[in-house]
Amino acid sequence: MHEWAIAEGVVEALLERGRREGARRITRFTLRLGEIQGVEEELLRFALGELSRGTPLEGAEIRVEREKGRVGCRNCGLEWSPEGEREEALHFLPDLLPLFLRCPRCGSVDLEIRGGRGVWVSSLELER
Amino acid sequence: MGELAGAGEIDPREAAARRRLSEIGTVLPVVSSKGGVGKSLLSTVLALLLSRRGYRTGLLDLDFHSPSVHLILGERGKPREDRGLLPAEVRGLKFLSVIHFSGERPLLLRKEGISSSLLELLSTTRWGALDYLVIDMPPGSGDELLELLRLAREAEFLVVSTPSRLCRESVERMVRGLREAGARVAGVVENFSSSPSAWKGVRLLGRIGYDPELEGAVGRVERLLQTSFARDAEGVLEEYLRG
Repeated sequence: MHEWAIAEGVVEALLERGRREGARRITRFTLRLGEIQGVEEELLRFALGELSRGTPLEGAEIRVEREKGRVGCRNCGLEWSPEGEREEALHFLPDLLPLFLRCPRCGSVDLEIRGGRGVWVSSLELER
Repeated sequence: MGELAGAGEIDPREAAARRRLSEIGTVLPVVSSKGGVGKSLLSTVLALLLSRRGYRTGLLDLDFHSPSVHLILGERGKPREDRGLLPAEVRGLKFLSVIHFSGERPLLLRKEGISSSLLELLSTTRWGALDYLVIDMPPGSGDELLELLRLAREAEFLVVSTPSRLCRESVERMVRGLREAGARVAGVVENFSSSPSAWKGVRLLGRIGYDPELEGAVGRVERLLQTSFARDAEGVLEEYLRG
């Protein structure tokens, strides 16, 4: 249930932003879930619902956008979306993905994540 | 219809990391401008000594390129997942390292991945109630140090040096940098110390002499705590706790 810790971060970040903006309520927000981390949407939604109770976030509509994992090779420039079994370690530290890969074209280990890493709040709507 | 707030995306890990660090009694990063000065050994021994004094102590190895605390402890344990990441429990310490996730793979990582992993660990690890979190930091004043300065404003930095002029000059510069960044510097520890040397403008917490027995005690905690290194580190700890 790593999703719980991620949800705690999302709730804290949203409430902090809401306070800063002088919001009475946060009515809707969008989460971008990177596929590398393998976050389970249902678990995350459940945790967000539980943690939002009694806060200006309670009842907010949650939109989820999924972002495919993209890795780039700094040696030959190839960009691709890794497929296949996900290592458990990446659930906790998605940035370690390059350790588990080689460039399928040139074999380089000098790789960078170009998309789909973790969880981001990409928009929110509020009432003042 | 609501109003769209703010500009740009929010990384939810920032707020979580700050809150989790603020719940820890004292965050004690062990740093140095140079490598090979004994940060990992000192971090580990200080954490073990704090734990033996009854303090609830965590030990976090943030040296992403070259983690070694697990070697000094002689075991790494296994973190668990329960509403976040629960650190491993090793020798009375709560312990976490990149080694728990990388296994034996070579750690070819760019700085973006390291900064992000650091933030990930700090935002999702449930240390529980801790009196001290000792952090073994990588050498230098790079991204890991800057991230920690940003996220752990109350941290007390313990700076390790050797008597060599090559090290002292850059350590003094580091101490100035930490202070300019608004950080608290607990003091300097001089390792491989052979004769008293003066430190100006920074508190000397203690000297640790060269200990030829130390290498043989790596991975054997009971023996490690019998070394002269550990006895000198005990003196450092007493001086630090005196405040």
